[in-house]
Amino acid sequence: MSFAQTFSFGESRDSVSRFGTTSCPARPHRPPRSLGCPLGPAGWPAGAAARTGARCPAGRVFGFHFSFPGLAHFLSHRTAPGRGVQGPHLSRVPPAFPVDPKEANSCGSRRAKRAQRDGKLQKSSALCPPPRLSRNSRPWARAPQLIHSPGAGPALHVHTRVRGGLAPAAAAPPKSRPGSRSPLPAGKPEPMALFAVFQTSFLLALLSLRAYQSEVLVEPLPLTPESLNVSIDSAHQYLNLQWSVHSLAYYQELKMLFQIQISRMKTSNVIWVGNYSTVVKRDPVLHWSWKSELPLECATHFVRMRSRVDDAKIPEPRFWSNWSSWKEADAQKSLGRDPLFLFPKDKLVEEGSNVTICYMSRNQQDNISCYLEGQQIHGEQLDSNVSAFKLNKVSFIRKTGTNIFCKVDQKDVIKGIVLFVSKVLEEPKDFSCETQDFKTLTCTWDPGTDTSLPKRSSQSYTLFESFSGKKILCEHKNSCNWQVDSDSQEMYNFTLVAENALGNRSVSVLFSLTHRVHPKTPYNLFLKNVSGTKATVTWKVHPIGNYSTLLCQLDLLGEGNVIQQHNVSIKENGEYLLSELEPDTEYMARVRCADANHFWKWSGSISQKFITAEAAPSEALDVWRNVKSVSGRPTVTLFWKPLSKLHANGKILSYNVTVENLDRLSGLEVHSVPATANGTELTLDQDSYQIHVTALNSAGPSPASVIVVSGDPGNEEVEEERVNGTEDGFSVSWKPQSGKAIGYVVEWCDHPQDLPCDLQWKNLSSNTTSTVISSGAFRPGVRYNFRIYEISTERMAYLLEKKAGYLKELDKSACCQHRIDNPEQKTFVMENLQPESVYEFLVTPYTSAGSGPLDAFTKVTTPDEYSHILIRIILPMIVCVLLIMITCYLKSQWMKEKCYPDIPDPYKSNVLSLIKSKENPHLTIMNVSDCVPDAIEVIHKPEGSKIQFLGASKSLTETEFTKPAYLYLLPAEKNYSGPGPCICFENLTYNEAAADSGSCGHFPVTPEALPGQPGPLTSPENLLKALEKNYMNSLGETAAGEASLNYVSQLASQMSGDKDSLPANPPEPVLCSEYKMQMAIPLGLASPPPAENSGLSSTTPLDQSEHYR
Amino acid sequence: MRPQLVQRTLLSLVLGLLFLSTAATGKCSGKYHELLQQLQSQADLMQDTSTLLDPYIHFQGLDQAGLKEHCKESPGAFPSEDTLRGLSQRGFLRTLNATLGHVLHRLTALQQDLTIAQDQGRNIRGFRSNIHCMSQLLRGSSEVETAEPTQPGPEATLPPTPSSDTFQHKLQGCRFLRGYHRFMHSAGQVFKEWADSRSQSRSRRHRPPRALQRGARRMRPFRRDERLMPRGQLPR
Repeated sequence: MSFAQTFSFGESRDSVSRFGTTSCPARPHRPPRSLGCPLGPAGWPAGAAARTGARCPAGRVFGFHFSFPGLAHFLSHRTAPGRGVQGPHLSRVPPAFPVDPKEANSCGSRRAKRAQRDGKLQKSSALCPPPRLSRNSRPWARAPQLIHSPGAGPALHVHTRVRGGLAPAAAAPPKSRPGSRSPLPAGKPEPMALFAVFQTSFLLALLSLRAYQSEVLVEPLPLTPESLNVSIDSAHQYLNLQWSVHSLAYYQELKMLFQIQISRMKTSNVIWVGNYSTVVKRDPVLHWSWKSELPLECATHFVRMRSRVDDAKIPEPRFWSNWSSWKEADAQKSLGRDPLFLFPKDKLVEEGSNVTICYMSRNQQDNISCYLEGQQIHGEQLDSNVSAFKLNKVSFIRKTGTNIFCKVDQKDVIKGIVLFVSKVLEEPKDFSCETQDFKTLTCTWDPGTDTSLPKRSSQSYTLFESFSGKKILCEHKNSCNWQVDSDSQEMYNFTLVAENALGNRSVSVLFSLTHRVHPKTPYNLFLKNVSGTKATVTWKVHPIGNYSTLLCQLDLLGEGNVIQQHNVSIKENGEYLLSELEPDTEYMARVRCADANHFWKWSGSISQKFITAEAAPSEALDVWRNVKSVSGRPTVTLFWKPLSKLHANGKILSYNVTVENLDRLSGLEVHSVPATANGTELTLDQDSYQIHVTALNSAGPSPASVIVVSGDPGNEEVEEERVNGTEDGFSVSWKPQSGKAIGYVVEWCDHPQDLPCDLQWKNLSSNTTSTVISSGAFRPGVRYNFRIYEISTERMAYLLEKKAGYLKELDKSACCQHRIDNPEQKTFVMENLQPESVYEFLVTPYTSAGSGPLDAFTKVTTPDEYSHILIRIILPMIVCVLLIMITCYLKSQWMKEKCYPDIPDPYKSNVLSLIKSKENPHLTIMNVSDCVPDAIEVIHKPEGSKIQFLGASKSLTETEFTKPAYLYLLPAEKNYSGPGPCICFENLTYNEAAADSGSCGHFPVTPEALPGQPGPLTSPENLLKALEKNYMNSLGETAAGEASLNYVSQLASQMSGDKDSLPANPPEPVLCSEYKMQMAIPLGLASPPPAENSGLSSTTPLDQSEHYR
Repeated sequence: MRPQLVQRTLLSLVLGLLFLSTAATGKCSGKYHELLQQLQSQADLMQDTSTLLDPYIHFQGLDQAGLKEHCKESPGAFPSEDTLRGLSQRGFLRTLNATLGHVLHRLTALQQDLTIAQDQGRNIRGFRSNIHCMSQLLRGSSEVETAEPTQPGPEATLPPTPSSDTFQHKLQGCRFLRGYHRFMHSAGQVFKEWADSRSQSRSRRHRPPRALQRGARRMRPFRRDERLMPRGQLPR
C-alpha cells in the first residue's frame, strides 16, 4: 500500500479545517447529515454556521494521524514532471487571494465519515492539504479533489482553510476554550508540559510549513483533462477524442467547458480552436469528435485541450486549466507502401456540398496529375507530397458515383476514389392520413426525388405519433399503415421523418380521426325495373363504425355527360328511382360516397350501364308528296324524313302507309314500307285520297302524318318569279291566298340537274309567309326552282308560287355568259379557255322579256395545251427527217462517190503498168526500207489538230513517243543523194493491210489533179510535174534541187472502221478528196530509224487527223 | 412365382429404358455437330464486348480518357488461348466449365451494378449446359477414363472478393469483364479448331494440312480423345 493511499490530503485538509475552527461539521454540504451545520449557497457550510460549530461533535477534531511520507507525496505531486505545466499556472495565482472565512469550515465531513468507516481517516487526517494533488484512485482519496475540481472556486477554499489554520484561534481552540477539559493528565505536568510544548512546537512548525505551502498553493485548482486519447474514424473523417476528468465527490454533476485546439502537420499550425461545453458527471469519460474537411489520411493532426468549470454552483472567477499535452493522430503510418494514395474513399455527400480530396505521394519526384470525370483538376499543395483539391457544389452525375483518379506520369500507377453524390433528400409532400374503417390509418405522401444509391441504404420513412408515442418504420416509400388501437384516441399528431445517410426531413400533420374518413368504394350496384323513362338503382356500402352515415352521390350519365345528379344519405344500402329518362337510351349510373358528417374524400366510384326500354315514336313523320301522271294515271310519290333518335324512341321496324279514298268508300289500303326506305310510290286514280303515314317500332306506331292528294294536279300555271340567293340561302316569301291554310310547304331540288333531283321540302306554319331555304348542296351558278304550296284544312296542297334563282351568279365577263345577238347564229366559239379544265355549257334563248328556261349543262373538258404545240413542231420535223433519209437512201451511191469514194489499191493502179512500161527505176512502189527518213517527229495530237512538219534538223531523239504516236519521215536532207523523188501516200484505214504488204507507193501527185483525175496518171512526166508543183507549193522554202518529195496524207473518212479514234476536228481537205495511191506502214516498222541506205522514200503512219501539205 | 419374377424384371427393365431415353432426349442433344455449332455460336455471342463490358464501362463512368487504358485484362486471370489449345477436349471443357462457374459467381456480384449481367448470366448457364452435354458426349465415347487436371482458372488468379475501394472495384470489374470476353474469344477459337479439324480429318487421311499438323502436335490429348470416340456417335 502506497503512502498516498494511506494518507489523504483531503482528509488532512478536513483535519486542518477542524483544527482551525474546532467545530467542523461532520457533513457540511449535506443538510440532513450536517448535524445542524447550515450550508452555504453551493452546498458549502455557511460561514456563520461554521463559526457556531459548538453543536458539532468535537471528539473528532484531534483524531488525526500525520506522517511525512504523506507530505512528501503531496510535495512530489506538486512538483511531478508530468504536471509541470501547472507551474506557470501556479505562478499566475494572485498572492492576495481573497479569503472567505465562511468557507474555512468547509471540511469534507462526508469524506471524514467515509474515512471513518474505513477506520483510517481519524488516524491519518492531520491536515487538510490540497486535495487536487491527490492522484489516488480511491474515491475517498479523490473526493477532496472533486471539491476543488471547478478550478478557481476550490482554490479559494483551500486558501481560506489554510489561512484559517494559521489563525491563532484555530491553533489550539480546544485548550483555550473555557470549560473544556484538557486531554492531558493534570497530576503530571512536566512530561505533559514537555509533550505539550513539543506538540505545540511541532504543530507550529507544521503550520508554518503549511503556511508556506499555502503560499505555493494559492492558485486555482483546475481539472486538467487527463488521459486524452485521439483516434481516427476514416469512414466518416472524424477525429474522435476521449478523455477523463477527476470524479466529482461533492457534486452529482458539474458543467464544464473544454477548449480544444487542433493543429495540422505540426503543432504550431493550429487550424481549429473550439469550446465544448458539457455536464460532467461522476467518473466521467468524455467523448467528442471533430470532423475534418481534409481527409485525415493526408496529414498528421495534433490535438490538445484544457478545461474550465462553467457551472453556476461555482462562483466567479473561473480559470482555465493547463493545456494537456499534444496528442498526435497520424493515419499515414497504416497506409502501406503504395506509391500514391487518394482520399477520402467512397465518400457520400449530398448534391451541392463541397468536398475536399487529397492525394499523398510517397515519392516527391513523381509528377502526378488528377482528373475529375476525365477532366484534369489542379489542387493546392499542402506539403511536398500532399496536395488537396476542393470541389465546390458537387453535382450528381450517376448513381455509381463520380470517378476521381490520379496518375503518376510515366508510370502505370493509377489511384482513384469514387465520390457518391446523393440527391438532396426532399421533405415529403402531400402528407395526409385517412381511414376507411376506423381500424387502420393509411398515411400517404409524395417522397420526391429518390436519393438511393447502389450499395447504400436507401432513404427510409418513419411515422411517429406524438400522443401515443408510438413509432413505426414504414415499409413503403410513399405510404404507411397505422393500426388504430381503440376508439379512445380521437386526435392524432403524426410526424413523418424521411431519413437517409446524410440527413433527415420531417413533416407533421394533426387531425381528428373522424375527419379523415375515406369510405371504401360502394359495391353491388344494380338497375332494376328499367322502363322507358324510369329505372331503380340499388347499391351497398361498407359500413363505417356503428353510427356513421354516408352521403352517396348518384350520377346519371348519358353519352358521357352527367344528366342527373342525386345525393342520398344511407347507412348501408342505397336505393334511388331515376325518372325522366328517354326511351331506348343508354345511360350509366355512377355512385360514390363520403362521410356525411365530415366530408373528407369521395370514395371510389362504381358504375353500371343500362338501356331504357323502347316507347312508341313520339312524333309524326314529316311527309311530302310528288304527284305526276304516268300513263295517264296519277302517281303519287311519298317522301318522309326519318324520325330523329329523340322521337323514334326505339328502332323503327317499318312504316305503315294507309290510303283512304275520300271520294268513294273503298276501304283502307295499307302498305308496309321497310324501315330502310324513306318513301314509297302509289298509283292512284283521279279520286282524292287521304294518306296516313306512321312509323312503327317495337312499342307501337307513331302519330300519323296525314296528307291528301288528288288526281287533279291543280293550278300549275303560276308565274315564276325571280329569287336572289344570299350567303345564307334563298330568301323565299309568298302571299297567302285563301287565308285558310294550315301551313305551307316550300319544295325544291338540291340537285336540279340530276335525276332524281333530290326533292327537298320544308314545312312552315300557317302564319309564315317567308323563309330562308338553305342547303349545303346549293352551288353558285346553278339555277334553283322553288315551289310554294299552301296546305289547306283538308290537308290538300295547292301550288301557290314558283320561284327561281341562283345562289350566286357568276361573273359574266369572266367566261360564263355570252350574249349571241344573232338569232341565226348556231355556233359560238369559246376562247381563252384553260387547258385540261372542265367547262359546262348551257344555251338558252332569250327575248325582250327575259331568258328562257335553263336546260341541263353540257360538260366539256379542254385538252392539254402542249399537245398542239408538240404536234405542230414534232410532226414537221419527223417529215423532214424522213425525207432526208429517203433522199439519202435514193442517192446513196452518189453520196458515196462524192463523199467517201473507194480508195484504189496501188497495186492495181495503172501507174504500175505505166512504170513498168517505161522501166523507170526511180518510179516504183517502194518498200518501207526504201524510204530513208531524215527526221522523225512524234506528236501527240489527240485533238487532231494540224501538225506542222518540222525542219530537217529535228532529230529523232528530240521527239517523244506518246500515245498515239505518229512517226513522220521527212524529206531527205539536202545532201541526200539517194534515189529520186519519193512520194508516200498513206491511209491508216489500210494500215494493217499495207503493213502486211510491206510496201509503200511513191507517186508524185498534185492535189489539184486528184479530184478530177480518178485514174492513174498517164505519163511519168506528168507525174513528175505534178509532184514538183505540189511540193513547191506546199514547201515553199525547200530548195529547188531537192527532188525528193514526201507526201503525207490520209483519208479521214468517217466511215472508217476505227471510228472511236476519229479526231474531233477532221481536216477539211479529207472530205471528198481522192487518193490515187497510198501506202501504210505499221508503227513497228516505222519506229526504228531506217538506215541511210535503206532507200530514198520514207513512210510514216498517220493518225486520222490531217497531215496534209 | 417364377413367371411373376420375370414379369417384374421385364417391367423394370422397360421402365428403366424409358426413363433413360427420356432423360437423354430431354437433356442433351446427341449430335456432336449440333452441339459444337451451338457452342461456337454461344462463344461468339459471349465474346462480344457490347453484351457486357461496354455497358459496364458506361454504367460505371469508366469511359473517360485516362481510365480506358487501365481496363486491361489482368495477366493470368483467365487461361490463355495457348493454354486452352494445349488441353484435351475434355480438359478444355472442364476448364471452360470451371472458369465460367467463377465468372457466374462474379457476375452475380456485378448484377447489383449492371442489370444486363443477369442476361449474360443466363447465357453462361446455357453455355455451361451445352458444355455439360458435350462432356457427356465425349465421356460416352471414351473407352478409357483419363484423369486430367483442370487448368488453373480464375479461381486461382481472379480477385476472390471485390475490394472495399469502390474505384478499384470498378477497375477490377472492368478488367475482369475484358478478360472474360477475351477468354470466350479464345474458347470460340478452340471450338472452331475442333470443327476445322473434324472436317479436315476426313480429307487428311491422305495428306493432313501443315497447319493441322502443327495443331495436332499441340493437341495430343485432343487426338487421343478423338481416337476414342465411337464411330457411330461422333463424326470422324
